[in-house]
Amino acid sequence: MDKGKGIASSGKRKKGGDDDDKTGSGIRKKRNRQVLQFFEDAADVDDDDDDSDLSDLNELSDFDEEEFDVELKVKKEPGKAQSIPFFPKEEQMDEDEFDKMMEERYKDGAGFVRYADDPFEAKLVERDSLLALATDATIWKVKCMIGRERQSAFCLMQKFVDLKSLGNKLEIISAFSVDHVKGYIYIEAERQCDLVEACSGLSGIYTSRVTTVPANEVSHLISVRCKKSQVTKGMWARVKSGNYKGDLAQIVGVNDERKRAVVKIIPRIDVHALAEKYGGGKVAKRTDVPAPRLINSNELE
Amino acid sequence: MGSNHNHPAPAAQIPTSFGHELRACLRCRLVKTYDQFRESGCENCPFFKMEEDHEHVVDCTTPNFNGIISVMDPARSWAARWLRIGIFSLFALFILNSIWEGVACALYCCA
Repeated sequence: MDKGKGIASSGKRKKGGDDDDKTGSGIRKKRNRQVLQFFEDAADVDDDDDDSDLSDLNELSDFDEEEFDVELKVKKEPGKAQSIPFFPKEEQMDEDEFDKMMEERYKDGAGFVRYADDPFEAKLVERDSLLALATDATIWKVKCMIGRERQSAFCLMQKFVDLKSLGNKLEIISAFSVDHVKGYIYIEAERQCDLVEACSGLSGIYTSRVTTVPANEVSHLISVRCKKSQVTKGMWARVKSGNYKGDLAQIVGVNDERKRAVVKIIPRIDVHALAEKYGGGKVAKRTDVPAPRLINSNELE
Repeated sequence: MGSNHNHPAPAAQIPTSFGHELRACLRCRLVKTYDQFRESGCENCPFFKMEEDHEHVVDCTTPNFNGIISVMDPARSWAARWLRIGIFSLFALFILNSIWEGVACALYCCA
């Protein structure tokens, strides 16, 4: 009877958590079922008081059906197996397992983090309750100067605040820019004329090119993460400006947090000018750039 | 622009300038400049105590974030609801960083 109780209670828990990802809870249930039957207090504090024998029998038969349903779903969406973290499971794990799980999730190639280039999955099970309602204002995609998307969003905010202190109110609801969508910003407003009026006077926003965005696509925009840095060790790059403009350089080190990279390049050092400078003589300013030459360190002495 | 005391919706400061000094709070993604965080901390996360120590500002905010959203009317905005933003301010859409920065962030919460 203990066994029956254990299975029934985990079945109840699954029903209770109906806003969780179905596949996730299915997997968790399968893994923990053998363990849970030994935990008398794992019968969670569900306030169901219909815990009579009769309901146990009913639940057992229901449970089989649910389990089969869940199995089918699990096969269909293998990629989402680990999509939602379950706190009870994490608390039961010890530190090493937790570390491993985190590394698994965030290492390259793991399915946990979605990238900008991934194909749009038609079924997004999570956040159903936050989908746009018909009463919500529409979201417009407005053409903008490339490289100025963030600044335009910021300017709109400044304009809103400035106008408010004068007593006028800008009728837009929010404005956002997504970094990987270049050349467009998204503005939420009730009517297009509000939008045009809000952006009037801002040189970076082109209100002649405005389109609406359907709501399901916007949620995809906001939920997607960018790929990790494209720059890695061993790659080649070309210098854009300065003395070394146009020169090929090889990347030997990357610092992602500071967005910097260390590169190796053929020097264009004018040894004579350096010698004069450090010798204390007058520096003759050279306007032409010295040719690239591999230098020995003894030459620099 | 200071924080809006008379505004009906709760508000936070918006950044005073726009450039490389913009940082986003790791926990709530509020965007302000480094100096603003140093002076008045994060309105959503006062326990970080950024006013006390500039180390806290460096640990709990990051300049690497993707996307930015200005929320003018959080009550009517679908985007603000999706991102769970309730106040009038500038926010980052999401933060690009490794999970270990988040660990430092969590330590401050517990301390």
